[in-house]
Amino acid sequence: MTSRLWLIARHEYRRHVLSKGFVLVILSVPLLIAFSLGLGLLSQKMSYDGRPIGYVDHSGLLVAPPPAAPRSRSILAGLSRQPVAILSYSSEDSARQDLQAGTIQAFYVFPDEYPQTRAVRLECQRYPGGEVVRQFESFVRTNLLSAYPSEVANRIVQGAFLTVRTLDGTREYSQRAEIAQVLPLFIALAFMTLFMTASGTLMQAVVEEKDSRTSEIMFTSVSTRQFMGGKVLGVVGMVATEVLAWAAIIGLVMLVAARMPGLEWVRYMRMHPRTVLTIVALAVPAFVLYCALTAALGALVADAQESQQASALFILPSAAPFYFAFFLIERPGSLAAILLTLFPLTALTSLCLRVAFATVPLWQVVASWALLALSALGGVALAGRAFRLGMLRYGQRVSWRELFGPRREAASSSRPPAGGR
Amino acid sequence: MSYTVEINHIAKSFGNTQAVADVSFAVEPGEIFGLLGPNGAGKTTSVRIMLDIFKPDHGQVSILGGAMSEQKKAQIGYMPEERGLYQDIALERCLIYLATLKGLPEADARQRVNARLKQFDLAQHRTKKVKELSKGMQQKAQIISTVLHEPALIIMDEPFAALDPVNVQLIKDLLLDVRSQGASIILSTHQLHHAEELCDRLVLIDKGRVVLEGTLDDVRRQYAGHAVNVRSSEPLPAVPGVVAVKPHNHAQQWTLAPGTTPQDVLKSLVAADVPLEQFEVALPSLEEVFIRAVGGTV
Repeated sequence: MTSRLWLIARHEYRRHVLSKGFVLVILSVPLLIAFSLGLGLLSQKMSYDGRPIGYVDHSGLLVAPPPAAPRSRSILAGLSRQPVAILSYSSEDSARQDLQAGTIQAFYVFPDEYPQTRAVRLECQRYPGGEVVRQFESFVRTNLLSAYPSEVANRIVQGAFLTVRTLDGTREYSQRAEIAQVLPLFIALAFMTLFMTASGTLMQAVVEEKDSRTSEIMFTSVSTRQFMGGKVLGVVGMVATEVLAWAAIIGLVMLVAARMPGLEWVRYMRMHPRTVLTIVALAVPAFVLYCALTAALGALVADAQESQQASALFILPSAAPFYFAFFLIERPGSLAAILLTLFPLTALTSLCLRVAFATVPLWQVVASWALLALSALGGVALAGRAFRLGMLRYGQRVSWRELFGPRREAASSSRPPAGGR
Repeated sequence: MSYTVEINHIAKSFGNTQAVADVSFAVEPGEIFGLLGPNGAGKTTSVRIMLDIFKPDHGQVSILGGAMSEQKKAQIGYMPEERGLYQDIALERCLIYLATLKGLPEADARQRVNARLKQFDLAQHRTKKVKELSKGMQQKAQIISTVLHEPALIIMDEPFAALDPVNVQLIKDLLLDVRSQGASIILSTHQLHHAEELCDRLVLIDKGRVVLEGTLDDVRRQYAGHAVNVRSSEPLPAVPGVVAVKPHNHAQQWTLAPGTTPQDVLKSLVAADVPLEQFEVALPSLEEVFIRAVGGTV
């Protein structure tokens, strides 16, 4: 009997995955990343002024500048940044002359009292880009630290790398990758997006079943639980494929990005395995629950258009924790935060928000998972019942009273089903 | 006797509408059983109750030796009145999928599907999406899906609708073939000429109640008048005991006086040396029985 559930799941999975639409969805992520990166790099390239930058050193602290580094042949490095030449001038007049001639884009003047004041003057027609200023500042720092061994000088130039770890070691905050701190938040957003697309797909699949009049055929072949369970599993499989494909693509992008100058912080984007495990453990039953509820809704509503509107019923609660995001961040251990984590429809997003900024006690994770798993099973059963009630109601909806009322059969309602009598 | 299906006094209402008031019948193994009645008589509801899609308000159903179960679903082939196939997938894939849900291994299902597609002249359409097929083709595909797993019980609701005469004959041959292999077939239809040709026994339902039940001959005799049909190549003489004459399908139908038997009439005709082409006791067609039984509500 169980094999029929898997047959339905496999059929549903293949129906969705082996379609042009799915390939487009998979490719949409790398395309979106490539488009965003390309747009960013293009705008950077367009605003980047590669002309040399000059300086006049009256303080005598700066030694002769290093020869201009050759332009990198690497396409990626070339796209991100190229070193500018740094030219030394003996007088402000000669530097100004070159500035007016457009040979250099700007020049700095280091006055005699620079060692005391640390103040410099910049002359330019247009303020140089941030990257050019950063390169010049790096050059100045290296010169000021020339008395130290190069390793020490380099380390001082890099500055402090602050890492804060929780006592249990499950969470850490690193200055090298500040964005990693809010990684769970992005994961929550990604789950939300997945829920929305997947639940839409599933609801559509159930409504199509009604529209194509296959309900009676299915009902005389399999049980409603097998039918709904199979559909839910098929869509869950589809989403898992989507997630794996996107994870692989994002991983690959990060691997490449980590080698790009200026994007070194990507190397420090990491999450503790326990946090990952916790999120995944909750994501699976949460996803089954959402799918089951949307499938039930699909069986209850009259048509595809109505199903689209009705799906908001379950999407809104899952998004609710985002509305309380500041509260959850400020008071991650509050009673409201705990309740949101325990309530099945808000559990996953609440947990993602909380683990970003606090350590969630194990009992809460376990309780949340257990409640979610039970709700997911209940959801599948409810979806089966909804399908049985709604399968012959072509163009009609089933009321909530009928769904949650005493166990009676579909056509025991006051309205006769479609088809003959 | 062990029946394939046994229905006892089932009733079903939807609000104030009584779809089935009191229906009982039994289907024997290896027979084609006609479930007949006008539109809205309660045929489809009776079938849905039989298949446990609806629970009856009253009455009992025994199918394949007991209550409906998940295991029994694999032994039943059902073609509902509301036709349904997955429109967006290839015909072959759709049929294989539905067959595997009925318990056939995929390789076996594929083999059977291809054989049936060839038999029903659909082989060249196997890779087309179902929605690209004509209504008649989809109906043939639905019939293939109903019989593919060789079920012990086949239930077909209006199987001849939307089919041309050639395909109607193809389906009739298929049903006779399936019956010869021992399957019981329930044919729910209001196309009585098809039922007349195929059914061994039948039940006629009207307004949710059984009006008639029995073999085709029993039912026709039950409604037979006291008359004979006579045809000759020459003008027919006046015969004693005949009280009324009316034309009937290129012959004459003679209504006999009480006390006159068909044998008396035949003797008179033979004595008069009439060259007879047809002489038979006039039995009504199923359609005539139907009209008389349900009061012209067809």
